[in-house]
Amino acid sequence: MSAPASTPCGSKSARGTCSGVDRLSSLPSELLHRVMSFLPMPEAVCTSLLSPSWRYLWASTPYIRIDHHDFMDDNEKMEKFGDRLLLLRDTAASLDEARIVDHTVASTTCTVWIRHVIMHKVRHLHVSGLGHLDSSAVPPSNHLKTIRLQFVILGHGLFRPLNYDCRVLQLLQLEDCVLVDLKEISSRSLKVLHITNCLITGSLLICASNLTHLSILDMHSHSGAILVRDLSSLVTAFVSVRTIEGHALLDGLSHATTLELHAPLLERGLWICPMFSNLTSLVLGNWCMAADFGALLRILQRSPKLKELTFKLERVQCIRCMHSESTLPPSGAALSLGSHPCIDRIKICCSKEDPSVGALVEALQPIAGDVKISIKRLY
Amino acid sequence: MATREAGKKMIMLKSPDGMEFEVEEAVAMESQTIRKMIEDDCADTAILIPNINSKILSRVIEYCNKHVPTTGATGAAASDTVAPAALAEDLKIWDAEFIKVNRATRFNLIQAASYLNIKGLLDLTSQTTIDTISDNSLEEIRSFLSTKNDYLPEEEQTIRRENQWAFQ
Repeated sequence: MSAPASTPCGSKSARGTCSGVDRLSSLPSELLHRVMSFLPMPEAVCTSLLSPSWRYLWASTPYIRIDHHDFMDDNEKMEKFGDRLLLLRDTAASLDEARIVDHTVASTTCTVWIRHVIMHKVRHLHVSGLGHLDSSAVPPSNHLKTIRLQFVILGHGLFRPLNYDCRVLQLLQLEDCVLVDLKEISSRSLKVLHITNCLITGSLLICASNLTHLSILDMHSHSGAILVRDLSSLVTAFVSVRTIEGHALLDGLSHATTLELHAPLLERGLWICPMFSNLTSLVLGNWCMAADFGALLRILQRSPKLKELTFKLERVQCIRCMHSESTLPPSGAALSLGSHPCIDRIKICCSKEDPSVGALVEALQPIAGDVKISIKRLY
Repeated sequence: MATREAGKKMIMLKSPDGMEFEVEEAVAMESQTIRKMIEDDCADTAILIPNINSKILSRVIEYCNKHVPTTGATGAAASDTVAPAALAEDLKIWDAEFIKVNRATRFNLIQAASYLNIKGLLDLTSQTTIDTISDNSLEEIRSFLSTKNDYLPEEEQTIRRENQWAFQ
């Protein structure tokens, strides 16, 4: 990018008229903050050197980012930067977002930073790679709306303040976290919860009564680690776990209208399957073909309003399915359900040479009735 | 300028210099500001877009046209055959070409994107502005922004001291 030659502007008053006028500085500070948000935070502070109109602009940015990538992993520098940034920032400026990305600074320091931003009414908090986080990091807040935690060890009653003291918390996203002896997520304000690749010791009960969207992608935790109950507002759920043990997980999903379910190690079928009385759209994986399509049959019987049925067949088949002879065409009575009353769309997404498609299509024929089964070869 | 197509609701956008642009409602609704006007029923015949001249407005419409999700009667076929990743890649290339404009136009686009509340365009213009100035020395950035260094040498030293903690 070639920088044009500097246009000589004689004095401040001439600025507005010369052709090389500083258009950027003429933008309102709200927009300048927006443009600055694409700069690493230390560089944003350095814009104070540009000209007097930029001098204190950094201090009122509606966001804070303390990111170890900006310090080439120099701990001491990052710690000093984080402390000064919070100390020298204009505390009257509204704080929309705080992002702390750190793999090295002491947990105590980060905990203080998190406390600070929450007490300064941050609305969106994103913490990545902090060693350990407990309830002391979360003071009461009437502003915190979303929390995203990555690579964090969560323990010592952390969910207590989240459940009771964060009155407007709507979205909680936990990725690659370790949850140590945390009992329940029961926030009444929470609407969206994502739990992805977390390791859960003990068992976690999810019973947030206003939750509308839930996704659980968990292949690490022992079976039965996540229990779901009383999600009466639930609309969509995505669940991908190693196995669904009994009914502890499914029962809580019974209000959903859209459901995607993957459980490759399904052991005993879905013999205790709740009634999915609102369910209109269902996505299932290979696993539902095991045990003579027993699981599929069971869910369909219990989903009277189902309209859209989709299968996502993975390239790598689940272990259970591969070792099971029952992925062969069903022997007679397996899908004796007859034509389903509401289903009007059946779709199978699979690889180009998926051998199990034929069996699945054949098994689906009695249910499908006149509905055409569309097959989408994805890869 | 968009032409009328059967079955699609059209919206008239007017720039303050008197030009009129007829666009599909879905395209216009890429702008959250216009979306709100339409949803609140404030958009019966034509919407006047203040502060955005026809040259900039036509570029903004061009952007929205490209970025409107391809769903509905005509779009469904396209999105079924093209993988989302390829589509995103195509958009990225298009964006890079689209934003090859002079500074004045880009700053006008930032303002327009902000007023019309088009997040994608605001991100694109902001990111491009930062890309062109980062990795340059302070003098180069000042020169690029045509910002005169209004600091006296001693003032500049003071600010350097003041913000020493942030300088690498």
